Amino acid sequence: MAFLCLLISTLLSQSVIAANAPSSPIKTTVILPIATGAAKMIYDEVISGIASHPELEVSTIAISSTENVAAVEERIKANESELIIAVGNRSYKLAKALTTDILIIAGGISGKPNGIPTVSLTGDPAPAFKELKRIAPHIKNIRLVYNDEINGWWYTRAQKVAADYDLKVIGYLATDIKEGVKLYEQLLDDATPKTSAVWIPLRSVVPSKTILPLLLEKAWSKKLAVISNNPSHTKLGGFIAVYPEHKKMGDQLAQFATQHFNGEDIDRIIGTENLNFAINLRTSSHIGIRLSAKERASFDKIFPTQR
Amino acid sequence: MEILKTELKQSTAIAPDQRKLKKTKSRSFQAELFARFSIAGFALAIIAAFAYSYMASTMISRFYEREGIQATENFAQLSALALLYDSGENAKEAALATLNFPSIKHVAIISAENTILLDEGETNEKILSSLDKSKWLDSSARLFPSSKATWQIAAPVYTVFNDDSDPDLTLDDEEIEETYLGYVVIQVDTSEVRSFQLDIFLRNLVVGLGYGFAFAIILSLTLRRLLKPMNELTSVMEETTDGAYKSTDIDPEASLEVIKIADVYNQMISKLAERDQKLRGQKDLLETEVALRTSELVQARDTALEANRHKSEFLANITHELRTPLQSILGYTEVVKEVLEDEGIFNCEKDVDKITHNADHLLSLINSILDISKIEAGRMEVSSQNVNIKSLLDRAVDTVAPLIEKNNNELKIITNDANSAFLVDEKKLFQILLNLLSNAAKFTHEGTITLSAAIKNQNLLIEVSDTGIGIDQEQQEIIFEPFRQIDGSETRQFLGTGLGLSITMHFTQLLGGEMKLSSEVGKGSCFSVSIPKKTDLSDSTDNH
Repeated sequence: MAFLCLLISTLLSQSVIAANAPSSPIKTTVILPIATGAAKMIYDEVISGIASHPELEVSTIAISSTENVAAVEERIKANESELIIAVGNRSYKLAKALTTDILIIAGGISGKPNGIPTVSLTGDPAPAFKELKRIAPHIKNIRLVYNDEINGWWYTRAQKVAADYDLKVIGYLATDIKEGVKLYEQLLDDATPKTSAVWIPLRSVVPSKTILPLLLEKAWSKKLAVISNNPSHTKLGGFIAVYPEHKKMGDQLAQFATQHFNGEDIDRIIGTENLNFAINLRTSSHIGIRLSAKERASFDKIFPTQR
Repeated sequence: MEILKTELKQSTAIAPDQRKLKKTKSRSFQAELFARFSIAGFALAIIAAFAYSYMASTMISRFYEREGIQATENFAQLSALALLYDSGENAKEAALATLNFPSIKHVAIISAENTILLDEGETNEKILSSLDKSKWLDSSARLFPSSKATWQIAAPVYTVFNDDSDPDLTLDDEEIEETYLGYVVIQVDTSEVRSFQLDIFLRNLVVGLGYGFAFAIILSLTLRRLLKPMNELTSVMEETTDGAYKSTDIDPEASLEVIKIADVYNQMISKLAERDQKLRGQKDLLETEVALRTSELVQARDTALEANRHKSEFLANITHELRTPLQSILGYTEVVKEVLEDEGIFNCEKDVDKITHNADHLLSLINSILDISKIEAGRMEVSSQNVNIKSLLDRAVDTVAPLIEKNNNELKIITNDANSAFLVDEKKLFQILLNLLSNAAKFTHEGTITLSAAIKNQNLLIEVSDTGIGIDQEQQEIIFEPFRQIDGSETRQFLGTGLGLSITMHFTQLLGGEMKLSSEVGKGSCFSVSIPKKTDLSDSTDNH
């Protein structure tokens, strides 16, 4: 009996061990563009973030701008890949052209997702709002011109989380460039100093280069905070910029891909949760926000560049 | 002596050639060089001015074009909002700033639907307002064909998507997209460009001409300095042409060629002077000899003339002295003949006739010698009177009739207009006719003798021709000299003194006429005498 009990307990313990033991890693092909210099470093950071996940067995395919889709498919097949992660817009476009049934996950794209599960390059509004409220608690509403197709998902998500941070997101829906320009004008008219902030999405129906000079000029004159996903805008006079932390974005991407691979019910598109922040201290002072040295130290980039 | 003459001739022949050279080469070497180099210098300066002006004009034109294109592209960048807002007001400031360019006179913004959103400034030319998107190859501005006075430069306006270049957004490698919004156009007034070009051209031309003048002045001074030794040499040479052999001082600073020419010239002048000296010596010698010879000749001539005069005087005297006894012989012979005829002694008649005949012949000979002596002594007198030519001819024919008949000759007489009075020395003319007819009769056998006479243009023309033995060319040249006969040999066939034709020639000349001879051996001779009519009755004496 004792032997039987021992046997049963041994078998049970073995079955428990077997159930808890990690399953075999998912053979994953990461498609990324051929890059050099600083760009390569960024892609390497993303890849290292993805590869840090033991659930994934990562192999990479670096593609050129004229890469042959069939050749990529052959390599994916040769890798016996179960999952494809396309990093960047070019990789995303190539992945979309693949005829394979393998699950494709996109990461680090700025455009509309078109059905492929995506971790957007645009930061998730929640950490951004959190940071905004930390340094500018007087801001009550965030206004943006958006397009349903391009960044409607972000607007919806922002609206959802805004209340958590005592914020209100006011969207101006634009269908084309001319309408967008006019809406920006309306937005600036509607915005109130101190309480309003203007959000420039990474992708918009209105090209930022066109609208930025006017927008920054009017925002400056009305002492409005301009928040962007592009640090260059902050450098030019925006208040803060929110942009992804690449390694962590890779980590998030790997997790997102695993979840999708395992069939978990999650969103089709999410923003990057781990973000970096840039601030323009001159603009900050202009709109009446004084930051302590400690607060400044929390920013990844500070403009104007301090010597 | 001959060589000396030739050299003198040559030396005198050079002078006209030199004068000719002076006339044809009117410009000096220095002037020629100056003219040619100056023209070349001016031409080069003007060509350089033109070329530089052309290049500068092209550069200015390109500069203005680039400036216009740059201004248009800038204006295009600033016009995006105006096109997005469909409102030119958004770009008014940019338009006014663009119009601040001095050459830009007109700016406009035209939408993609060709609606003019902004139209600032004014020009006479209509602004391009109907360009479509296909006109643009890229976002650069373009110069569109327009009038000479105005350029039209247009640039498209695009708005750019996905151009958010930031290293932190490297993953966002979306391709850049452009949306065409419309275009901007500016009009550039080219009058300033053209004024600038004209200004540059005029300045260059002035500089070019100034350079040309400076070049000409420097050239003139240089040529003057360079050619000074040559000009000095030329002056010395010119003085030399006047006969004064002058050597030149060789300027050690002159060019090598000039020094060489001067050296050679000095050597040549030295030799010429030496030769001239010799020639002058020879000339003096020659002149002395000529004078000596001339003196001798004059003396000889005077002696000869004196001798001839003495001879003539002697002949005149001796003939006069001979005629007197001869006249006595003839007179007494006539008496003897008459006595013999009276006595009936006829067998001696022939002998007496021979005496008469020979005495006549001797008298004739003496008369001829007397005549030639008178002629040579210049004592022959001419006595003119109105003579009936026809009767004179008849008398002459009668006189020579025996001679003509003797040789069985036929005499033809042609006297068309000769039956009139003619003022002439009758004796001399008669003697001329007698001599010519007797000569013809003497040298013609069984032939024809023709005597023709006519008065034409106040001239008496007498011609005696025969079909006799004729006279060859050599004898024709001497036949009129005294004591010359056709046959001068010792065995001659024809008798005579050889004075007849000489006397005839002298008489003809005394009468102011001339005599010609044409003859051919074996065919006969023709003597033509032309005597002018005397205008008065005065006598003259031959003073030859």
